[in-house]
Amino acid sequence: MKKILALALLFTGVSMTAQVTSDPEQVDPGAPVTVYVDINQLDASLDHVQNLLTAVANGEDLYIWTWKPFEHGPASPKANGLGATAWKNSNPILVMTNEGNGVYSYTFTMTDFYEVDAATCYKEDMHFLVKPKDGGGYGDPDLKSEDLVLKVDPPATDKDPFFPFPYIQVGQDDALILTYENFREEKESMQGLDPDECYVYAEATLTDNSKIIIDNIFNVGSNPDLQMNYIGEGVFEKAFVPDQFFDVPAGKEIDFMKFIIIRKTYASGADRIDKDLDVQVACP
Amino acid sequence: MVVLIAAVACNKPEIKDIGTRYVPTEGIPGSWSIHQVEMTDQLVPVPETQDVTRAFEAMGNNLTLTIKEDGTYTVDETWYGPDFFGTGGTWMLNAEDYADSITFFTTEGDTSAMSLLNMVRKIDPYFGVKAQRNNCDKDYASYDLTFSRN
Repeated sequence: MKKILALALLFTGVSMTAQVTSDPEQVDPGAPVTVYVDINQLDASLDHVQNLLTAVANGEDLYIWTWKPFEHGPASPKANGLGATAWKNSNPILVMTNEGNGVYSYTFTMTDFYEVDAATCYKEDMHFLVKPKDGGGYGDPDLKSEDLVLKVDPPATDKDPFFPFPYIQVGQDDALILTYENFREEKESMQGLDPDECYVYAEATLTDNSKIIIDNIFNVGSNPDLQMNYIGEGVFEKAFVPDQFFDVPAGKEIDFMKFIIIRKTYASGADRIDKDLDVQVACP
Repeated sequence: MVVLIAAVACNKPEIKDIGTRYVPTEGIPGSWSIHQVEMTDQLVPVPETQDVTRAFEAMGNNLTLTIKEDGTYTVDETWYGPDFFGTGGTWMLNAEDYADSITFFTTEGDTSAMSLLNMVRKIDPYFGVKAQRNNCDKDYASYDLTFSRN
């Protein structure tokens, strides 16, 4: 179904970059992706594109030629072309599938093919062109598309208004920054906090299952160590080293930590945010 | 007038002596205090870096390294952050003239290999290293530690 949709996007010319789309549209660099190129959407006013279209009309196959996020060298089995005149001899592993109606596809997994990590794929995107096996050159007219780009963006993540940095894992001797974006708070009773009325309840559970609670939730608002610093624009933060903040006894280890944003004067559940922030420290 | 211009134009510019050669890391020995700490979260799809200096400053942390030319170093610290340097030990560069990393061998028996973030001539006021954090068998964060010369 997704493939039909991707092809339909190409045929109707509403894909993001006109000539190029993919299935899935949101590319996961570590999972297979099919890249589609509609050669009808290429700039036919360019001589080298006209030459490409003529070659296709004569029944020639098309090949991917790619250089970003990484270009394999001539000695690699994944090199774009083989031999001393590589541009005239595309690597057979890069041949595209003719989907009909001028649409060609190539299926691969980016991190496997390029041998780079996902972050590099997100940063660099996929840069390539398509060409017949013999792309001309060396005195002959070129046969190729213009340079094409498949955008590779990280998945959109909606952070909660209260979030840590680092986001996923932290050591008890690392820096930890808790940020509370009160301007994004959806709970009505916690919206519009004054700069001096945002506090954080902090609790650490150690690997021996004992707990360190800096202050019970009713006293938090009178403990200056637990006040969130207002940094403007409806944003508060607290920066610390967990080991030091919780005064963890020597030889003990934090398993995980729990933080809750509360109003300075805590009287009921209306004076706290609804979602606790849990931060893992020990290996899961 | 034309002759004067022509005469000036024909003067050969003086090529001054390029000066004595310096080693890009010769300024490392000295006393250094922590100046800035940046942390990179490597577990998110696009690694993100934040200046986390305030997390250490807020709690009164300080870290001073005294690096000596005899290959030893000492640490004067009130530091609860990652223990990259121990209490002292020895240090070495990975190359004499064009080093790009430095390794600290602590007296406690740990080894910390770090990339150099800048060249450190005797005139340079800052000295930076990149240190890797690993837990649960994976790299999860790195620190760029910038020290200022005392």
